[in-house]
Amino acid sequence: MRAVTWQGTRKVGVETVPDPKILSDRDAIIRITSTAICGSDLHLYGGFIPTMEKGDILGHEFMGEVMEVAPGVKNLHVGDRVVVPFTLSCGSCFHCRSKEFSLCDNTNPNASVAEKFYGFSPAGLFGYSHMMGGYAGGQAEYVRVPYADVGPLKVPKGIDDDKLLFLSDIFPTGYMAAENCDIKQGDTIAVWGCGPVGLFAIQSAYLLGAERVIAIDRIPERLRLAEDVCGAEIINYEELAVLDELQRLTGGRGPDACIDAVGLEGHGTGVMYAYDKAKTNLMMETDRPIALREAIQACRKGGTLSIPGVYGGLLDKIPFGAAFNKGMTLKMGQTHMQKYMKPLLDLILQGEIDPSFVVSHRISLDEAPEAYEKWQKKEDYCTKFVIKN
Amino acid sequence: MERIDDKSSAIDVAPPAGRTGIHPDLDEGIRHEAAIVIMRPADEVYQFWRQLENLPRFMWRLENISVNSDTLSHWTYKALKDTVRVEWDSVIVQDEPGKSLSWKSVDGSTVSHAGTVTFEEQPFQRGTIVRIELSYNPPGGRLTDFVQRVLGESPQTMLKEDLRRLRWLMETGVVPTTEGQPHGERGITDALNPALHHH
Ligand SMILES: NC(=O)c1ccc[n+]([C@@H]2O[C@H](COP(=O)([O-])OP(=O)(O)OC[C@H]3O[C@@H](n4cnc5c(N)ncnc54)[C@H](O)[C@@H]3O)[C@@H](O)[C@H]2O)c1
Ligand SMILES: [Zn+2]
Ligand SMILES: [Zn+2]
Repeated sequence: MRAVTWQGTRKVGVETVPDPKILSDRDAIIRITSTAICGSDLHLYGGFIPTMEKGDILGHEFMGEVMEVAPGVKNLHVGDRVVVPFTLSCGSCFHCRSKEFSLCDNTNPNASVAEKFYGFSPAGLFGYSHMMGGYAGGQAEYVRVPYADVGPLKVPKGIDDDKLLFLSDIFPTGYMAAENCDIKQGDTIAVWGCGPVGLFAIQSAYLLGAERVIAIDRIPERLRLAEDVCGAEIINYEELAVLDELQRLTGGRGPDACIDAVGLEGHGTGVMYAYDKAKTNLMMETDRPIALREAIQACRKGGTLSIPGVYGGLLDKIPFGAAFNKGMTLKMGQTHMQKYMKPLLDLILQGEIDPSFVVSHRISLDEAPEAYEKWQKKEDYCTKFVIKN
Repeated sequence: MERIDDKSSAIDVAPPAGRTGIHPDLDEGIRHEAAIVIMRPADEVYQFWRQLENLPRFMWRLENISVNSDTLSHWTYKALKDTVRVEWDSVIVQDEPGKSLSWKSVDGSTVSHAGTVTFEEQPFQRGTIVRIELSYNPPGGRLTDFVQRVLGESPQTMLKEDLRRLRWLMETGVVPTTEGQPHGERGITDALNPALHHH
């Protein structure tokens, strides 16, 4: 089959590789019909996530048709149409029982490596480094899905892939980000980053009862989606001082909750951006937490900071004193996918939400390397690339 | 006996010799201890362990255990990257169903080995803490232990991985694997070092 593979920092390729096989009793093989490139893939592309190897198959947002199931998978049948979550979960460990599916104890074969970095190992992920399990990803024609009796969500036929595909990651991720804000009547939520995760976080915040959502980015087409499709007030951080503007908009109280949907490759205009860039280039810092710092600073007293944006390592100059003295609550992590997929599918089927609005480009597998480059540079008005097989 | 410090994980710290006090033979030789929580009833984990033939399914250095009677069994162990195979007969010296099990090599074996495993079910569905304590007087004594560490086979780390595999089997029925999955062409450094890169 053809597959998108990691080749090194800022280099991906398309290679012919063997088709995946069933390797374990709880596996299924899926023929992929649609698969997307995610902001998280950019962190791999940028070389920010350790333990990638040349030749690793990328991709964790995919859906398709069940081709084969191992004997241990009773709930899926050949021909079923499924969306597959990007996290692998066993369904029966301490964390899965508590619906903390992305913290599953049992799906990372390289748990000992993750433990060296983080003390404990989170769940295995598709196409997201060896420390996170080294599972071959889904930017390919076929994929092996382990723990297929717990992960894949069956979806009805006759609905366009683009409406359902984002149940694999970014729609639940935006939703959990908003849920983590513990939104109360009258709340104002500020969202850093109007990429797909930020956009779904805005929509979800309104679904969960937010009064106002203020979205921050600098890319005009993304700010436009935030405003026109998702109904947010917007701040272009290249034109306005974000902290001042948030103060002004909230009458000086600050947002009740802040969402960092930017993650470790934050971009900025000021001296801190130069600082992070220099330090990450020298390998003295692993992440560029520009948005995170700003969100902590901006949040009102007693407010909540929800962090769906991915961080990988050691962060500098985090205003932790501000978080402490304001009595803030911090919530974060990879999304507990299985908790959200079914209810969000229902919202889509009821016509409450149509996630396909984020798609800007539909491409073939062979065009993926070019798409990574464009997505990284935010060129060509891209908001989301979907690969069609 | 003095113990070489192993900083590879948080639960590696050996308690004072013979801490559980269940098994006097644990005071001898090189000691290792590890623990894990398994979300199954203590009885069930005990039963799985008591079928000694199951041990090689998660203790991957054990090649085979054949059970000869209710208390006697024959163990075959591979060491030093599979270059050394050691065999001995083992006898169960203490058995409290659902709670603990202890064994030791019979007198006169090339390896003197002793072990205790305890199963402590936690209240409020918090699972069962499985604690294992092992001691070895391997052929070659401490030198072998040292050589094993140099070769990257720290017995302490291995023991922790063994228990993790036990949890995988007990909680999920499978051991997670990527062996045999497709990938593109590997680079030169990956070919030289198929192990993971710890950047
Ligand atoms: N927690 C999870 O489970 C999960 C799942 C998917 C994605 N993610 C993470 O969410 C983040 C966003 O993903 P995405 O797909 O939307 O990526 P993206 O790269 O498309 O979006 C990031 C956006 O942030 C903007 N931005 C950069 N610096 C900023 C700043 N200082 N202030 C405001 N905006 C800024 C960029 O212009 C861009 O529009 C990534 O870190 C990704 O890894 C997390
Ligand atoms: Zn993603
Ligand atoms: Zn689990």
